[in-house]
Amino acid sequence: MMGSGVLQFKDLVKEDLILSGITYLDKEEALREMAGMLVEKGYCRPPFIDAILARERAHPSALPMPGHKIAIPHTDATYVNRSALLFARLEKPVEFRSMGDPNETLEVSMISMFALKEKKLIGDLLETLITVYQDEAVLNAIYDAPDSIEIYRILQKHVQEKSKTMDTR
Amino acid sequence: MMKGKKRILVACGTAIATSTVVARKIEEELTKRGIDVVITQCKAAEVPSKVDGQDLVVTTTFVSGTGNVPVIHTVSFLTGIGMEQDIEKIVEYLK
Repeated sequence: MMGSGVLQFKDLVKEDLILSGITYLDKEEALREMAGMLVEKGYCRPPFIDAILARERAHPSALPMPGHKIAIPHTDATYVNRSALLFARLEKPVEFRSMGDPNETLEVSMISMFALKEKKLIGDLLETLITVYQDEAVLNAIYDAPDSIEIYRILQKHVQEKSKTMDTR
Repeated sequence: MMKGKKRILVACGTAIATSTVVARKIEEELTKRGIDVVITQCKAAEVPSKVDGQDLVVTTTFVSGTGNVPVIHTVSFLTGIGMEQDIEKIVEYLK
């Protein structure tokens, strides 16, 4: 492994930052509420909320995965105190614009909001997480998981498996 | 294979999350093929000021001001769909 400063799964993913069965009216409400939660818990400062919304308008973050669609809203590190991942599985999908084609809307059923501070230390984990999201079976399992604890376990298990194969590649 | 390092500029909205993932995937795939590259990450808005001397721009979002440098606009490195084809495209451009 690299230096001790490299972010590990547990540094970024927290059980209390995984929401299941949550309902938002639309994308704006989802982003505002989720970013607000990161502010409330001290991970980010209040302007983070508007920064996330502005970034989403300029650069949509929904990924056109083959199965369930996931959005990965994030913004630069300016208003981030500590890095965190806030993950939400939605009761009802909301419309996001697609990162690949902003004219296309996607029905997003999971939102993986990143608050990122240490860009240099986060590459491995970020790449692993996105690779995990690329696995349709994983997103299906998260979609069907009974609660947020199980979602956490699924993410942890696959991130660990994936980082092992990526290390020894 | 080829002499000298090729240069790729990888752009996304904020140059923190998306382009990090894209840059790492490209680097890994090209290394596997024995192609040595220098990858620079930037925000989409910074592309015009950073494109000079680059062999290729790979971006997940709309960019302008790239002059004569070829551009690949793709999210395949994030979705996993079509990644192989995009790597082949990148290899072609770098030849």
